[in-house]
Amino acid sequence: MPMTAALLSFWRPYWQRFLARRHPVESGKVRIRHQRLYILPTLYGLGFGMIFITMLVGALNYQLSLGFFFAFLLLGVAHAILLRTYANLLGLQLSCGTPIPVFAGENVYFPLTLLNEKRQPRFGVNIQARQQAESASTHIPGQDHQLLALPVKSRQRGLLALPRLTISSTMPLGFFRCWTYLALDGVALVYPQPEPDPPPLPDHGALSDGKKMQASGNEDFAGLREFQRGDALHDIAWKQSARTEQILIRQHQSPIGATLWLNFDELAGLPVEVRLSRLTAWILQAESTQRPYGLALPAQQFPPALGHDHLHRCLSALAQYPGGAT
Amino acid sequence: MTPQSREMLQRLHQAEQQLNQIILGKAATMRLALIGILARGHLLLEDVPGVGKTTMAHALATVLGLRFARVQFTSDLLPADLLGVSVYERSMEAFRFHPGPIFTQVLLADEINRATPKTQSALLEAMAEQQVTIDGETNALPTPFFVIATQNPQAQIGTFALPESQLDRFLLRLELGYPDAKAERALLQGISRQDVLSGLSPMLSAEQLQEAQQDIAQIKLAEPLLDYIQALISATREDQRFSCGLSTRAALGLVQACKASAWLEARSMVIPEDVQRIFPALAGHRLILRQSGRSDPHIAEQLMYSVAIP
Amino acid sequence: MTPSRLRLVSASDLQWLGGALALSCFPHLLEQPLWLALSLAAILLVLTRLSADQRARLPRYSHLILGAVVAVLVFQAYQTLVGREGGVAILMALSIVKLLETRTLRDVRGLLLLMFLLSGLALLHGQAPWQAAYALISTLAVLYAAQRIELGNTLPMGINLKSSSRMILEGIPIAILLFVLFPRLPAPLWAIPDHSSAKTGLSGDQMTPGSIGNMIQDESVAFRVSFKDKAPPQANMYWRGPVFEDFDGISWQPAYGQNRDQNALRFQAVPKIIGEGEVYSYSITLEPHQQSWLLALDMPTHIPANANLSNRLQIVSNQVVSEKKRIELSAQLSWRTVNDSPRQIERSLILPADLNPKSRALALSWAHLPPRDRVAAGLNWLRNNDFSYTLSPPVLTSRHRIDEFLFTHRQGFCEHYASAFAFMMRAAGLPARVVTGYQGAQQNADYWIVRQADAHAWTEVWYADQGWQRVDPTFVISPSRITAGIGLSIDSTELPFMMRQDNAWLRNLRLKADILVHGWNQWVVGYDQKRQNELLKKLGIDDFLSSAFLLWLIGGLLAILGSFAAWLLYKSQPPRPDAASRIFRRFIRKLAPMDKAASETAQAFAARAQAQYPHLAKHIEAITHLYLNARYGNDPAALPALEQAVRQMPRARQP
Repeated sequence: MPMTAALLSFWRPYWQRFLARRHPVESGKVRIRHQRLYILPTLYGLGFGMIFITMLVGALNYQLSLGFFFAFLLLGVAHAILLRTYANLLGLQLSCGTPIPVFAGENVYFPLTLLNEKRQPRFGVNIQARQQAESASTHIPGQDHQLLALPVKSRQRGLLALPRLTISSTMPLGFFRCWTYLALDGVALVYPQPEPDPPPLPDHGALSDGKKMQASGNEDFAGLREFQRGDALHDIAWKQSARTEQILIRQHQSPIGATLWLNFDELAGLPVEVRLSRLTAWILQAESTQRPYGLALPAQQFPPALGHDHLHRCLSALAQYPGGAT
Repeated sequence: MTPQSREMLQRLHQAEQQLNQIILGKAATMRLALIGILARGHLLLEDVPGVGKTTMAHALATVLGLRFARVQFTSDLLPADLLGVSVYERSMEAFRFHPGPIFTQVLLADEINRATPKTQSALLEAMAEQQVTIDGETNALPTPFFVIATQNPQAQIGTFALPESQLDRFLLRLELGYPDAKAERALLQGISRQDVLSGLSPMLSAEQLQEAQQDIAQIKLAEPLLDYIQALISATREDQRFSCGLSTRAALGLVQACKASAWLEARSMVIPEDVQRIFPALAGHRLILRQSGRSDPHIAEQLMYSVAIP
Repeated sequence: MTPSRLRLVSASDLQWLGGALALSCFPHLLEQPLWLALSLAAILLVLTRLSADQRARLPRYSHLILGAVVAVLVFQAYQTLVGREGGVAILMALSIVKLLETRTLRDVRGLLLLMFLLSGLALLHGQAPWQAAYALISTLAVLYAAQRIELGNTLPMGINLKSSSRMILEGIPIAILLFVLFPRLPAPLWAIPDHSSAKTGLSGDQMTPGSIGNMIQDESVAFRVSFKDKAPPQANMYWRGPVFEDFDGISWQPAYGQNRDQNALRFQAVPKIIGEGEVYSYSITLEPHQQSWLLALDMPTHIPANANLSNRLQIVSNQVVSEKKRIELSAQLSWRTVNDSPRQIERSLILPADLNPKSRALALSWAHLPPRDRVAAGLNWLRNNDFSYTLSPPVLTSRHRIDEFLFTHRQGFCEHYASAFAFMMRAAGLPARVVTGYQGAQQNADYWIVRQADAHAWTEVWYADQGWQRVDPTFVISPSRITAGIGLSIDSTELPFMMRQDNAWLRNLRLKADILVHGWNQWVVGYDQKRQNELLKKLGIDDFLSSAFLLWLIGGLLAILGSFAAWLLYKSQPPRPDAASRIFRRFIRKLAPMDKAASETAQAFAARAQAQYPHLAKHIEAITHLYLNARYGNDPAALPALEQAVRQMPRARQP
C-alpha cells in the first residue's frame, strides 16, 4: 500500500497539469462537449456485466436459445442506459455568477447556473469543486435552468478563484458514471477575517498628515444602541438602561462629532494581517453602530460615510491589500 | 393607442416632469414610483431621513390630483390614531365614526418600522382589504388608495422590522439616496422645496388615473415574456441563498408593473426591458438572505442577470 | 464510498422493489413443491409489507437466521443446493430473504442484479412465447424499480414506465443481431445432470392395455412435422416410437429390462433397412419428453447426426430430449429389413406358458398356413367377429386377459388389438412384436401437428424374405381411425376438443395460433448450430472467422448503435427557437465579434452595438424595433420586414 500511495503522489502533479491543460479556464456560459465527456461503468455496472456473463454461460450450457436472447437483451439495455447516462450531461451549460463576498474562513457560495436546453430533464447532476469535501447535486427539468450555490471554503483574504469542477452523473440507472472537468472563471472576494475580540473603536481618528478631527460636544440625539466595550461612561443612557435590563448607549448624530478615521498606519507594530483583521472588525462595528467612518490605507483613502456601498468599498480594499491571495 | 389615452399619457409625462423638478436627479426612481401607482401597488421607501421622502410622496399625490395625508409612526401610535374612532355624540344620541388620517387617497406612513406590530398590521390589513372595520362597522377607503411607507433601513433599537408576509404587500421598494453633487448644489441654490410644492398643480384627476389603469390592462404580454417572468420567479425559489422565493402575488405584481412601464413608454407590448427595470425594486425587499437575514436589492439584480431571456 | 450509495431507501421504494421481486420470482415459485412455494411467497409478502419501524426493531442477525431457514427448506425439497433445480430455488429464496436486510441504495442494487438474473433464469422452466413475454415483463418491472429508486422517485410513474420500456425496446435490435450471429456450440460446456420429471406421453418402459387410451384425452402437441416436398397420405403416417418384445400376460416390455437405450444394443447386429419407393424428407420439432428415443416416420432411411438406429429400428438420440429438439429425417413407405438379429427373432416368439389357452388354440389352427396367410387369417377373424373400437373398453380382470378380450368383451382400443394380435401371431409361430408411436397428423398451413391424442400401437411381424413388416389390426376394426384420424372413428364427446370434427371455426383459430407457436419453435427455440449455419450461409457467411462474418457483426452493431446515438444526439438538441429569435441571432452574428449575453435585453445590446459601430446605428435601431414588435408585439408584418432589414445590413467587420 505505501508503494502505491507513493506512486500516486508522484503522478498526481503530472495528472493535475494534464487536466489543467486539457480543461483550461473558460469564461461565460460553457457547454459540455462530447470531446471532454468521459464514461466508465461503475461497480454496479460491472455487476450487471457479471449477470450478463452468467446468463450467457447458462444459455451455452443448457442450450437455451431464449437464454441467449435474454443475455443479449441485457447487453442491449446496458447500451441504452449508457447512451442515456452520456446524454444526461451532454450539452449541459454552466456559468458562474459573482458570489457574495465573505469573510475569510467562511464558505463562499459560488452561484452556478445550470441551463438545460433540451426537452428531457437531466437527473442527479453532481458538482464538486476540487479538494472540497462538500458537493452539490441537482435535477434540472427540461428546458429550464437551475441555480446552485456551490460551497467552497475560503482560507485566505483576497480573491478566491472557483476551483476546477468535476461534473458527474450516474443517472438514470447507476450502471455508468459519466463525468467531465470544467474550469469556470468565477472569482470570489474574500474579506479579511474580523478580529474576534477587537479593542474598542478609536475615540477619534487622525489622518496621516496629522489633521485632527475633533469630536464636538453638542450633538443631536439620534437613538440608542447596545453597550460595547470602550464606550464612554457619560454616553450611557441610564434611565433607558434600567428599563430594558441592557446597558444602552446614547447615539449622537453629528457629521463631524462621530466621524471616525480608521488608519492603517496608526496600528504600527502589528503584523499586516492582524492590522487588516482589526480594521475589518472596526469597520463592522462602526457600521453596526451607524457611526460614519473613513478608512485610510497607505495607498488609498475612503472619506467617512456609512451604508452598504461604503462598507463594501472599504472591505474590498482591505481584502485586496497587497499580500493576499489572488 | 387611442387619442384619449395618448392625452392621458401626455399629462402623466408632464406630471413626471414636475416631479423631477422637485426631486432632482432621481428620474429612474420617479418613473418606478409612477409605475407602482399605475399598477395599483403600494410603495416602500427605504432611506435615511432627510433625503426628501416626504416631499416626494406629497408631490406625487399633488400632481396626480389625489388627497394626501402624512402620519408619523411612533411606538406610541395606536391603531385608532390611524384608522379613526367611534365617539358617542350626545346631540345625535348615537356613536359617530370619526375617520382617522387613513381616509385619504395617498397615505404617507413615515417610519413605519417605529410603530408596534399591532399598528403595523392594522395598516396592512386596511391596505389589503381597501376598508376599515371598527366596532363592527365597515367603512370603505377612498379609491384610489395608496400607501407610501418609509422606513429607515438601519436596524436600530426600538424599531419593529416588518415581517416577510407584510413586506410582500408592498409592490416596489424604492431608494432615493443622497442627491448627486450637481443636484444637491441646485437644491442649495434654489428655492425651498415647500415653495415648489405649493406651486404644483394637479395634472390629472383620480378618475383619469383609473382610466389610465384600465388602459394599462390592454397592454400585450407575449408568451416569451411570460416564460421570462416564470424563469425569474423560479430562479428566486431555487436559489439556496434565500430563505424563500417570490410569491405568486409578487409575480402578478410584476406583470402589472411591467404593463404600466410599457404604457408609460407609449408601447403596446411589454418587452424584457420592462421586466429588468422593475425586477430589482420588486424582488429586493422580498428576498431575505438566509445567512444574514438581510435583504439586498443588489443581490436581486445579480440574480436577474444570471437568468437568460428566453 | 460516495455517501449516495449509503442513502437509505424509502419504504414506498422498498414496496416497489418487493413487487418487482415478486414478479421475477413468480415463474420459479410455480416450479417449486406447493408447500415450499407457499412458504416463500408468504415470506416475500411479509417482508414487502414491513414498515421502516418494524425493520429497525428486528434483531441484527435476523436475515442470517431467515436465510438459514429457507436454505434448509430448499434442501428438504431438493436434497441439494446446487444444480439446475436446487440452485435456482436457493437463489430465489435467498433473494427473497435479502429483502429483509435491504436498507441502503447499495443493498438495493445488489438485490436488483439478482432480480435481473432471476427474470432470465425463468426461461429454464420453458421457452414458450408467453414465457418469453413474461421474462420481458418482469425485466421491465425490475428496470422500473431500479430507475425509480435510483432517481429518488422524482419521475412520475408514467414517464418512468415509458422510459424503462424504451430501454428494453432499444435493447431488442442488438439482442436480435447477437442472437443470430453469436456462435452456437454443438454440445454443452459440461454434462447436464439428467433432469427427469413426470411427463405425459408415450412410455418406453412398458405398454399395458389402457395406457394409450388414457393419452387420448391429452391434446397437447407431441411434435410438429414439416415435409420438405410433399407429405405422405395420412394413412401412412406411422410415427415409430418404443418397440416391445417381452409379454408377461399383462403388459409388454422391451427386452433386457428398463435400460432400454444401451441394452437394446445387446442384440448385437443392427438390421439394415432397404427402402423402396418415394423418399420423404422432413423435419420434426419434438417437444421435450425427457427420453432419448426419437420419433420417426416408418421407416427411417436417413439417420441424423447425434442419433443412432437401434436394432429395434428405433432412432435413439445421444442425449435425453430435455429441450425442444429439431431433427432432420427422411423415410420411405415400403421397405425390407435384412441382417436381422436371430436372437431377437427368437425372442419375438416367446409367450408366457399356460396363459390364454383359447387364443392360443385359435392361432394354432392357422399355423399350417404360409406366413402371409396366417396374418390374413388373423385379420379376417378380427373383422368377422363383431369387434368394436372404443375409448372406454370394459376393464380386463381375469388371468387370461387376451382370452377375455378376444372372446368375451370384444371391445377395445388400439393397444388391445396390437397386443392380442401380436400374441396370436406368436402363437401361430410368426415372430411378432408391439410398436408404439403416433398415427396420423393434423395439417396446419405448411406443417403438420401430431398430438398426444394421436398415440397409437400396432404390430410388427417378421417374414423371412422381407424382414419386419407392419401389420395394424386396428385398421381392420376401424379403418377410418387410420385413414381419417381419430376424430371420425370414435364418438366425439369422448375426444378432446382439438380432435373433434365439429366446431370448425374455433379449431381454426387455435390452429392459426399454433402456426405462430410452430414458427417460434422453428426459429427461436430451435435456433441451434445447424439452423445458424443454414441462415449464415444464406448471408454468405461460411465460417465464424471469415471476414464476411465480421462484416455482418460489426456492420450490424455499428448500424444499430450509430442510429441510436444519432437519435439521442438529435434529442439532446435544444428545440428550434422561433423565427424572430433566429433572425435576430443572424443579426447578432453580423455584428461579430460582439455578442449578446443571455440576460442582456435586445435594447441594451443595441445600445452597446450602436456605440461600437456608429455607422450601423440606423440599421441597429430599426432592426431592434422590428424584432421587439415581431417577438413581443405579435405584429405579423414585422417578421418579413425584420428578415429583410437584417439581410440588408452589412457586416460590422468585413472578413
